Amino acid sequence: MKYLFQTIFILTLILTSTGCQQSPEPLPILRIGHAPHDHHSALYIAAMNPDYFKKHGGIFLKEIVFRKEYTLISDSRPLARVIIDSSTGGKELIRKLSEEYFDIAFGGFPAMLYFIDHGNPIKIMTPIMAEGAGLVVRNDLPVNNWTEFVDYVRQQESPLRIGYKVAVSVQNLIFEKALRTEQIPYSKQLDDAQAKITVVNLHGAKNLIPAITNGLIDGFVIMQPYLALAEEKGAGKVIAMLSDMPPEGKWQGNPCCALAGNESYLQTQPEAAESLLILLMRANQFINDQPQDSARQISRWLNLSVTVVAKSLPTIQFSTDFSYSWQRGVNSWVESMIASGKLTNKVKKAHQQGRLEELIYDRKLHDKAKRAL
Amino acid sequence: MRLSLTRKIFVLFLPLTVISLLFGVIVYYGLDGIQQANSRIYQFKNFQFQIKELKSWQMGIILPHTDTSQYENFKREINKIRVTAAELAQIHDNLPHNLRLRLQKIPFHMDNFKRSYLKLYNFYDTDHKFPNQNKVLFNKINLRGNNLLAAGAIDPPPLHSFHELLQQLITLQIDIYHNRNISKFPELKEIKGEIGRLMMDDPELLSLTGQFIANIEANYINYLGIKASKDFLKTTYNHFYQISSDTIKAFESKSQMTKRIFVWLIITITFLAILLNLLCWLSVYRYFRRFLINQQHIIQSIEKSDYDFELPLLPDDEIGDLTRILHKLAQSLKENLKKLSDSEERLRNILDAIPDAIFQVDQQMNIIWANKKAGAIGRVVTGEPCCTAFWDREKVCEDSKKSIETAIVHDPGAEDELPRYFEIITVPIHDTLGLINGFVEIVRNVTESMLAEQDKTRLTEQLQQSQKMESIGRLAGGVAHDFNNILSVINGYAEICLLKMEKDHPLREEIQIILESGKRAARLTQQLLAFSRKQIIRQELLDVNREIDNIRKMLDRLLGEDIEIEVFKNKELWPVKIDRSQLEQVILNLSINARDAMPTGGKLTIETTNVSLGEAYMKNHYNITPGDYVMLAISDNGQGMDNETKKHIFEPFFTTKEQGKGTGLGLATVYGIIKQNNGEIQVYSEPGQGTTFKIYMPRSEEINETKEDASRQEDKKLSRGTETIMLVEDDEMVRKMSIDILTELGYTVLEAKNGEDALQICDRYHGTIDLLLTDVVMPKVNGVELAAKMADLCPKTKVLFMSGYTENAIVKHGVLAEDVNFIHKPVTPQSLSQAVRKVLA
Repeated sequence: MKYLFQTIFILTLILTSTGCQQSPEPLPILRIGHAPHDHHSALYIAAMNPDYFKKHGGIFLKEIVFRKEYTLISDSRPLARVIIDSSTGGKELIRKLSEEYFDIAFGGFPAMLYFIDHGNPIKIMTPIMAEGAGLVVRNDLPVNNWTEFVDYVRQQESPLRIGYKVAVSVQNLIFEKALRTEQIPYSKQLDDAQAKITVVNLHGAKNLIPAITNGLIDGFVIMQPYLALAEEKGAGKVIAMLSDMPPEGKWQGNPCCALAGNESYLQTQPEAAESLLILLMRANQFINDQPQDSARQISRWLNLSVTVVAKSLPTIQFSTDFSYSWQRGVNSWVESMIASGKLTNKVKKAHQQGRLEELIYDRKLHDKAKRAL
Repeated sequence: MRLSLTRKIFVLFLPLTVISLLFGVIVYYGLDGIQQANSRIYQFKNFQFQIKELKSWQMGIILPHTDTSQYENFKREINKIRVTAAELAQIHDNLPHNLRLRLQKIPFHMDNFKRSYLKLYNFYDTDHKFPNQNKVLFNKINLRGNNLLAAGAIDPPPLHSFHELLQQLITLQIDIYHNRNISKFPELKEIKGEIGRLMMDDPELLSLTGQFIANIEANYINYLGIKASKDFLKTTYNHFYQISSDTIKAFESKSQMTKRIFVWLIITITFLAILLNLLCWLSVYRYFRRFLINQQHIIQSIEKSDYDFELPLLPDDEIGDLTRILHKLAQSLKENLKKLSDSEERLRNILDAIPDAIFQVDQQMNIIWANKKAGAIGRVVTGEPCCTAFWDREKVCEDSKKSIETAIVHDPGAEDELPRYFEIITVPIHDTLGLINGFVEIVRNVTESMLAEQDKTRLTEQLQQSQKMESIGRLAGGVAHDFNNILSVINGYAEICLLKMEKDHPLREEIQIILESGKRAARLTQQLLAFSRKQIIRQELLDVNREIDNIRKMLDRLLGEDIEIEVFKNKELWPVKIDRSQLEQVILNLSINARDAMPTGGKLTIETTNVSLGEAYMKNHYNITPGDYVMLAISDNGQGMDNETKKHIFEPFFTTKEQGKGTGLGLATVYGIIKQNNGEIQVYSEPGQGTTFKIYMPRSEEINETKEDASRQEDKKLSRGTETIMLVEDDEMVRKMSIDILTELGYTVLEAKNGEDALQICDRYHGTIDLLLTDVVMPKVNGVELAAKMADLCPKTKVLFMSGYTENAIVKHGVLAEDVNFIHKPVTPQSLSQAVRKVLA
């Protein structure tokens, strides 16, 4: 009798303890989105130099699957399983970010403003890079800089076709502003006889080089590395960077790409977000400090020639500071987008009420990361 | 704190109830959770189905827009999905945070999705219109070219014919339009140049051609828009599908998790419930086992009569109370048993102390218990039939089975033992149903009571005899008294006559005969009075041996030579106080009776001795008091008597003698004398065995100073005197005779017929009254009262009482009081003269 009860008791304990056994807590997942171009090189550098960053700061990405899966480790402590996925462009990335497809994503600054304006809970964690975009024209055009381009355009009876990648991009916005500044009439209609330039949305950066190659367009505005790539392929020549365009000096250091995160993720996983931010800041610094190594590594990531990347990188300002030029660029973006009716809601109100930074940035996180560098 | 059994049971069953409730709640929520998850899965699968369906609707907008209803249907479907998406956005259901946010944003992205679709529709619309537009342009180009050719404006003739160029142009358009081949655009521009060169750069034709090519370019760019939109839509579609798939997966995972948890919870709770049940069962089992063991222990202790058992640690509840009550009951039982034991011992002692044998028998009349006395009386062996215990009682045993039965058995005893009598009372014992299940037998030794009963019978006979004798005595006494008065007159006057008559008077002899007869009658009267104990006697202290010696000669002469007299005397014989003449009369009467019983001679034995009669003797002789007695036994070896004769021998006038030979007053006189002197007479006689009379006379404690009574010497002469005598007598005849005698003797007689009369005379009389001669028994004022009153009136007057009765103020039971002058009736002139003279002297 005694043994029967003991047996039942032990059996029950085993069964209940088995039933209650907790499986080890899985690492939280951190999904990072990027576009496969060198504006987002900080991510590639961070992913490809674990030993360096382990040694310098202790935060690094341990590779599981190249380009796709990593473990974010801080001080030998895994913080998150990092899933890296790419998308076509800035707006697409931010859209996916807003859809919670990504937790943190690189992306174009105007796209971020657009989605924040529409009420998506997104916070910009840090600037990533500025400039890095320019105007490419056909090789046979007798122009070599912006001024010659403007003169040339003015002399032509039929309009030049300048392509861009998407409806709302840093490049076409700056380009159109420059045309307006130069008082060169332009249109998005191919048959507009009054226009000197027809700006053509080619619905994707990848369409630009074939279009210029096959005479569909005369040039295009785009970010790196498409500028370098176009020259590499002989499809065109870079005649001006966006910073060269008028108004003079306005576009120097203009915001291009930033790192944004979903508020929910930033609130629930602050440690992982902060560690990643610190790592990317260090990666940016790495690019600036070691351009050749960076070019080689970035070319490997993007499957591009080192030459292209080496040409591209110097045209990009990799910076994570909310610098004056950044702030100025932000204001310009906001004002121009409000003016063009692309910002109508939250961002517009915040801008008008003088609390834009509060709305769009997570400065607290940024400053904390900066202090940890 | 006291925890009652009800609360314990409540505490015991509460966890079971809670677990059951928990089990129910878990089953409910588990099933509800699974059902909810399945419902959600169905909802999202439906959403996926709608998205897939949308793809088929999308096919409708790719086709040329011949029917606008398809577009409207498409928009309706999108709106439907948007509504569905809005519903899905409201779902929380503990989904992962990220997924929940993604769901919430579906409506927002659905708007973009819708806009993209509409944009795509426009793209397609433009794309569908493109062939007709360029067809028109192509026709215009063809017409213009033909016109130019027809007008001969073209010279020299083109390298390639115009129509070949047009053919190439349309081929390129088809290639670019259908194959989306961007590389053909340079060829288009070459053809445009060829046409210009061929057609002399006709501005109109070039314009039309340029417009034609621009349309192709625009269409291509439109195609890029279609492609981008489709990519966007595809991505979005995939996104939606992914979200829904993720959600479904999450719900499935949740459902699985819920199921897993549900199963584990059920298993766990089931095991816990089983364990708890077992524990409860074990607790209850141990609890009640301990209780039962305690009870068993206590009951066994009680069974072993160990009432001082120690109580184990008991729970403070009703069960504990029960055990405590049992303990109290045990203590109470102990006390009660002690009381019972004491009571039983007391009863046993009582039963053992009871002189009766008491024993209990079963239905088969076998002895199962007996008291101590039973062993002493009979042969009582437990287990043996009762009939073996007390002599020949088989029948009694059989008969005593139904009711109380009492029997007297006689134990003849051994030869050297006296017979014994036993009364056996058999009382049936009834059980609760009223059936007899045994008997109690009470055996009492009634030998003494039986003998006592016999004695009582005998004594009763004696009493009856005595009473009879008393009645006869009173009768005889009454007759004798009246006779005394009569005889006093007869004999008195006869004597007076003789005193007055001359010695030769012719009547003297007759008067003498009258006087003799009167005297004989007076003797008979005296005998009757003696028998009836009415004779007035004067007791004196006597030595019976001396009295026997005194009358020995008379006895020898009276009995004759044939009768041998043998006397055995106790020399230390105690004195007795008795009238001497009566004692002589007793001895003489008994001796004469003995002589008469021995007509042919025999032996008369006279024996005296001292005896002390105890209680035992008294039991058989009711009318004698215990004490010391002098026994006088007179025995003969004559013919003896039978019992019937013995019953009547003391009756007056009863005689076995021939008529005329006996008066029948001899033994009656003896009987009366002995009784009057507080003695007892016993007769022992058997026919042919002789007779013995034993006379018991009470011992006197006075000093025996026997002296010869001088008074026995009677003075035959009449004493004369001259004094004054007041005679008080209510009997006129006796008064007259007495007056005559006294007057004759010389006295002065004052006559009074009663006490009052006497007092009046005394009061009136001035002379000296020397003597008051008064009857004792008189109406109104008796003699004693009269004497007392006379003492006040005439203190010097002497008093002489006369009476025939033995029961009056001066005579008790026939015995005179001391210092009283008395003359008993019937008085004679001689006795009267002597008595008067003696008092006056």
